[in-house]
Amino acid sequence: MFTKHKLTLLVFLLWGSLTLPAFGDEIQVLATVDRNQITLEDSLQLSITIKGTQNTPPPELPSLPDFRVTSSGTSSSTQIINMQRSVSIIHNYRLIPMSTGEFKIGPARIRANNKVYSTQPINIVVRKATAPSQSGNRPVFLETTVSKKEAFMGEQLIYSFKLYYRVEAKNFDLNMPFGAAHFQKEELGKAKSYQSIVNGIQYHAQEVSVALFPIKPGKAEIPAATLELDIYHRTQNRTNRRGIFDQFFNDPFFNQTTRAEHKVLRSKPLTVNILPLPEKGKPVGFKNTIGEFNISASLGKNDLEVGDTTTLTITVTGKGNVRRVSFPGPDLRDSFKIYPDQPEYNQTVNGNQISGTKIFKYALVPLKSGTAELPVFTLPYFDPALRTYRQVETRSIKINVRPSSTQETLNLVQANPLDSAEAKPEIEILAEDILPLHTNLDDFRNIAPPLNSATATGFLSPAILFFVCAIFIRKQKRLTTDVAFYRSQKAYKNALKKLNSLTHSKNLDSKKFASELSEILREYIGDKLNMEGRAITAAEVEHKLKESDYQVNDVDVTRRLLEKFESLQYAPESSGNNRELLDESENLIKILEKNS
Amino acid sequence: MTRKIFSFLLLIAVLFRPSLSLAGNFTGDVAIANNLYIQNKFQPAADAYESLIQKGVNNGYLYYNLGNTYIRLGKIGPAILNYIRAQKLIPRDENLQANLNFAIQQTHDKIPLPPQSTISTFFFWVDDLNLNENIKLALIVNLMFWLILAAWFYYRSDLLKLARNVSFVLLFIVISGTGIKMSLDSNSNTGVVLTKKTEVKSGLDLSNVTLFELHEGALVTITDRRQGWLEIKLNAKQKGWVPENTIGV
Repeated sequence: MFTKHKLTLLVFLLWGSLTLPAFGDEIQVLATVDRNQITLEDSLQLSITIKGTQNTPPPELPSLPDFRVTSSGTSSSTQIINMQRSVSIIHNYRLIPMSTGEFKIGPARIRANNKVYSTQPINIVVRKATAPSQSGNRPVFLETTVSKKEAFMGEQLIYSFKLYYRVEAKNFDLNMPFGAAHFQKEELGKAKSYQSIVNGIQYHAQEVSVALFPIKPGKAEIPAATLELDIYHRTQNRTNRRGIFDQFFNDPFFNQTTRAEHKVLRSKPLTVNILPLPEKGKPVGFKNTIGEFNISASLGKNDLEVGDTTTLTITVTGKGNVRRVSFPGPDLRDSFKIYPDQPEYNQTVNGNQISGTKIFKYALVPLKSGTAELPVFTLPYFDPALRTYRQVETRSIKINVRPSSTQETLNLVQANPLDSAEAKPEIEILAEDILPLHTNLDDFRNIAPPLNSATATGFLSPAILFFVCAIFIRKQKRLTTDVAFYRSQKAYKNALKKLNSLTHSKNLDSKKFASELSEILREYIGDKLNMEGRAITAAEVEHKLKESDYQVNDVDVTRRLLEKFESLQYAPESSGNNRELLDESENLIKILEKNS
Repeated sequence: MTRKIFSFLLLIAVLFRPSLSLAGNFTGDVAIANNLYIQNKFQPAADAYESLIQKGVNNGYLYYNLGNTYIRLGKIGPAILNYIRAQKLIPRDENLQANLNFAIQQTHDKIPLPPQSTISTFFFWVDDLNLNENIKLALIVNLMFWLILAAWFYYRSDLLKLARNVSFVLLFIVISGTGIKMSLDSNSNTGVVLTKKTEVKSGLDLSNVTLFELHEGALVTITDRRQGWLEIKLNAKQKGWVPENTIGV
């Protein structure tokens, strides 16, 4: 009899046997990869399995300079078979190849129980990925482009990265180096997403563009961009007999099964020839401003007194790197006190062209009266489109400064409490009453009970319509793409049409008639089973129909009828009744169609 | 196939046919009752409105006009009761709210309407729409969801996928709101004292101790119903039993 203490002891011992290390177990280490041959676009799964213990430090991986290694987690398992406990732990790594060739993954070392265990080496072959042009129907590929192969220093270039995919893709990790030694980068907003047709195939496209501004002349290389992503291949269960709802619910909306594949895509490096700015014609005061610009100036007040303040605003707009435009303050030290404000910069991106507005503000306080003319602001720049230096300037602005007034009139407005009291007199409530009857007779409609058949229909009919239309359209689509389905669907109609035309044909002897009927029946069966019907024998028909789960009785009838046709065709004297044969064939086709 | 589609559309047309007025053309009767009210013949006007309600006419403005008529007759209890009935059908009518507040102010006890339930705070639109409007909203969102689903089904795009998910969540919320509205309407437990004065007893018998008194028009929450008596409560402390015929629900 089990007492409470004995039961506790038993549980404790059982627990202890499960939690203690499996002493005496031989430690085994094993390295495996999911594939030995991969392309530069693929990743390799390296698994190091340690059997016999779970308490080891992580494996020491060999040097793998040709791969980028990331850990993809560990999994451990404990099994008890015939009271024998075995434990194991698997360390998983993702290896992304950096170059092509044959490589050897050397032994990984595992330290356990004061011993060092090593895995066996593994040979890996890394090949080039297939070029996009060679296989236009690739599920995913990328390309990078630069707007110009030759550009001046400071000229805006557009560097675009485009990803095309026609399968579900997730977990994008884009590394898009731009050559920081040769270029300055400006972001051009978020990635664009659109549909694109490549070689007649529709792809989803994601495009990321950045503006690059060359900073030194010479050949500049934009390194290859890499994109890691997971692509999902849809898998469908192809079985011969599926209900209409099985097919419908196998749609991705209803959780179609998918298989994920990790991909690493690389673009080709791009080269740009950067030209120095021409020395000839370089204007005085040129500050490496490159693009196409306009400049304007405005003054807050043109007529003011000594001691008043007015604001001079210089606005530079244009395409290119407007952010780098700068001016010295206006030289008005004798007649004005100048307080420069922090310039404001607003960048806009139209298409892939960076435009911007930079506003310089100066608060001017006149120190003496009289008429003054503000100096003209000049902006020299290099126009890469015209390959020449240009210059824009503001118009001159005149300002009239009057002597300061001796007396100032304060136009202060004070709130008058009496006025406000007069403005908002307190309303004296004289009496209270209810508001009147509702007399608009149009509003007096009887409100039907809310839950009725119309409500139920209203809720259900869109769903029913959706499913009916979906099933219908899917069937129509399948008829255009699935030859077997098309043949199966049209088999009965075709057979009846031929039987009908045979009914009306005269002057056919029994032999010919039997031959025609045999052909119609075999064609029907051929269409149903998606095979060449004319050449099939009665025995083959029997075999195929049985394979396709037709009822044994119907199969026997079919075989016998086909044999009967054959005997009639080749008998020296025909003895068949055409009408009977026709009816027999028609009935058999109807039965087969019903049971298909 | 065409025949099947035609049959289906015919079925929908039959089910969605305009509902025939069960009380026939009763707007003439309403006009007569309104004229009686305008001529200060309040009792005949109230009888005319009550007669329409007895015939099965269900309309918020009818209850509102009846409430007004009872105010004129000095019957605050029935007036408040009809205003509360009207409130279920025309919840956004400002005149109704004003008259209901006025009527409550005319009562001796001046008990305000019970506050909204917590769930109504989350489903804030539910109390602003009557049950029919809630159902119509659900029907519209339902139709929208299926249309978006159909569009997404044939033209897969991220935007339509987002719209599908949003409309599905919206549909769920709206249907939940409609369910809550149904529950609130069918389990409405607000009652109005219809007699000039009623004694709230500690048990189901007149011989029990009188706990407190309520006057005509007082709003109470009904918590139980037994043997011709209703258990009512004003708050956690003030509760007791009153004869069923003294309270209008």
